[in-house]
Amino acid sequence: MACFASCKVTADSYDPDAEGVLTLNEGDRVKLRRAPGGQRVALEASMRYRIVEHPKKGPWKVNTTGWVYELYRADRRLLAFHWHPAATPDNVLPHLHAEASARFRKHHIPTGRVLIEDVLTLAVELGANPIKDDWAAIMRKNRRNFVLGATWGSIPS
Amino acid sequence: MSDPTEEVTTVGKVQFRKLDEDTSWRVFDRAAHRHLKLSGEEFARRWDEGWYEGRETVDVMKVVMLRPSGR
Repeated sequence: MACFASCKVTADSYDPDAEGVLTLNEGDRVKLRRAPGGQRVALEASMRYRIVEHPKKGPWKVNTTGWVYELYRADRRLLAFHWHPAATPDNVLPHLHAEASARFRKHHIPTGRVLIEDVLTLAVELGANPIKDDWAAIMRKNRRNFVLGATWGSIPS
Repeated sequence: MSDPTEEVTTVGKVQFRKLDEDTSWRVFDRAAHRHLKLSGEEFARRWDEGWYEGRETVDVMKVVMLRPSGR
């Protein structure tokens, strides 16, 4: 996030027995720096997570157990990437709501695993202007690190 | 000695902080008010009673995701 904006990240649990909630700006939108003359792109993001023992590289790792990533442009919600398997046992797949489309906004478009790095990269395509020139290299490094510890949904690094 | 998990960490312009239980609930309550015009308590009651089954809109799920565990 430091490549894109000033914001607060908060988490409410370090207890291995409890599922925690992580938010950006306590649930408020994070305004991403805009390109000159471009429209404002903003992100809302929260994740649920569980701290678990890591048998190989221990002692601990963090498992993601849900996410909401939503992208806005000019104050209009365009895309909502959701995964909330515990809350909706009948719909456990990661999915996208195409909010900009009246036809598809209510549908659950399957996505596979989505990283916040993926969403931020998309934000750049939509007009966000990263603060750091080396943001793309940082995204690649984060993805490589993710692959090392991921138990599902790994992506080509 | 201070609890290191309570400290604020800063990376660039990003600040990381742990929330206590009450503040975490306030974040959830504020989201329920903002997105659904309900208190967090009322939303949690309706969710637990199954009132939202078949009504899981994008905003409903966004609020659910912020509900602190165990409350």
